[in-house]
Amino acid sequence: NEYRTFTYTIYSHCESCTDPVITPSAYTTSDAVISSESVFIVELSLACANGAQSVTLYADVNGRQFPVTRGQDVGKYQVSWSLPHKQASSGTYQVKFFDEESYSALRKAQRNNEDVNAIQPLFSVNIDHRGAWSGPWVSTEVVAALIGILVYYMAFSAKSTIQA
Amino acid sequence: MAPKGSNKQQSEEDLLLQDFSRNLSAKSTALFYGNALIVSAIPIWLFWRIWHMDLVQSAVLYAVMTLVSTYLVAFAYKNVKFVLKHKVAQKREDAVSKEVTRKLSEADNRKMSRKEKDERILWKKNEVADYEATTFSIFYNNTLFLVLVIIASFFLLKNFNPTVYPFSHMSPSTDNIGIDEVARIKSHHTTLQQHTMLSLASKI
Repeated sequence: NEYRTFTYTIYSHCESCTDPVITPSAYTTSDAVISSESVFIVELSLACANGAQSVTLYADVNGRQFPVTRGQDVGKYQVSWSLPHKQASSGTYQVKFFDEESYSALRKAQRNNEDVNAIQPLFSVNIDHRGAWSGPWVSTEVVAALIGILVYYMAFSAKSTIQA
Repeated sequence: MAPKGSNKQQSEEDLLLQDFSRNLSAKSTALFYGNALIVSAIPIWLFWRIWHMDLVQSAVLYAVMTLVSTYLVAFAYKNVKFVLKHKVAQKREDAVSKEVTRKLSEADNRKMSRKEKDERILWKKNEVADYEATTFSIFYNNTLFLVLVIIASFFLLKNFNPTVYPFSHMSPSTDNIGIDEVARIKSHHTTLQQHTMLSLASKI
């Protein structure tokens, strides 16, 4: 009996959200020269119609799931993940957010090899990744050396003409 | 007649000696050293900003490197100029003589002897060749020095500690001189012959 009440108490902490209204913002890595992997960060403010404030969320991106952490302020959530530069292609990434119920349904579908796209997320956010810059095609010192050699060649041929 | 004649010959010989000597006028020296200083100062920015070799910490190294490099580059300027000067003079002789004869008025033309005209042409030719050889020497040596600094520092010595770089970058300036010394020795004999021939010709 005590166990039962204990589990019921825990269950009531995880609230569900109805009619979510979100304000998302996203950051993606833009410079691949100084970072070892491409990082994606999604931050959002969530307002629920039923006033739920501590919603446990999970994010799914391209088949990978990540837990969503709660920020300092009420209603702020953040999720981040990283990919090696080569795998982080530019384009639109769809991030689906699941609450407890839909997330367990998702896991069940995955285990049974059912269609995971059939599970409806609580809401989803599309983020644009413009791609990370991995440096110039020809490094500047090579360009400088080539121009220098060209100018020297002109000077050398002029000198040879004079001395001929 | 004899003292006057010998005085005249002496001044001509002096002029020829001056033309063919390696000595520079004060103005040329100042020009060369000024240019050499500027060109030697350029790699300072390279070392400081690109390889983060601190200015204050390595100030002594920077100063020594710049001064030695200045001296070596100015030496290279002098050598290349000497080698090129008489070649340039040969090429410009026709143009200069045409211009000098054109500038003389009719009255002067009759008064001056051929010798005096030739002397004027020679002097003018010497001045033009001097200036052209000077500027070309500066251009040539600057490009050679900077190309060698870039190649040595970015490609050949990429993996060394930055303090090695200054010493390596003084070798481009010695390279310049090495190349010019060889050319100088070769041309030394020919100029000596020409000098003696010219002085003999002027006495006829």
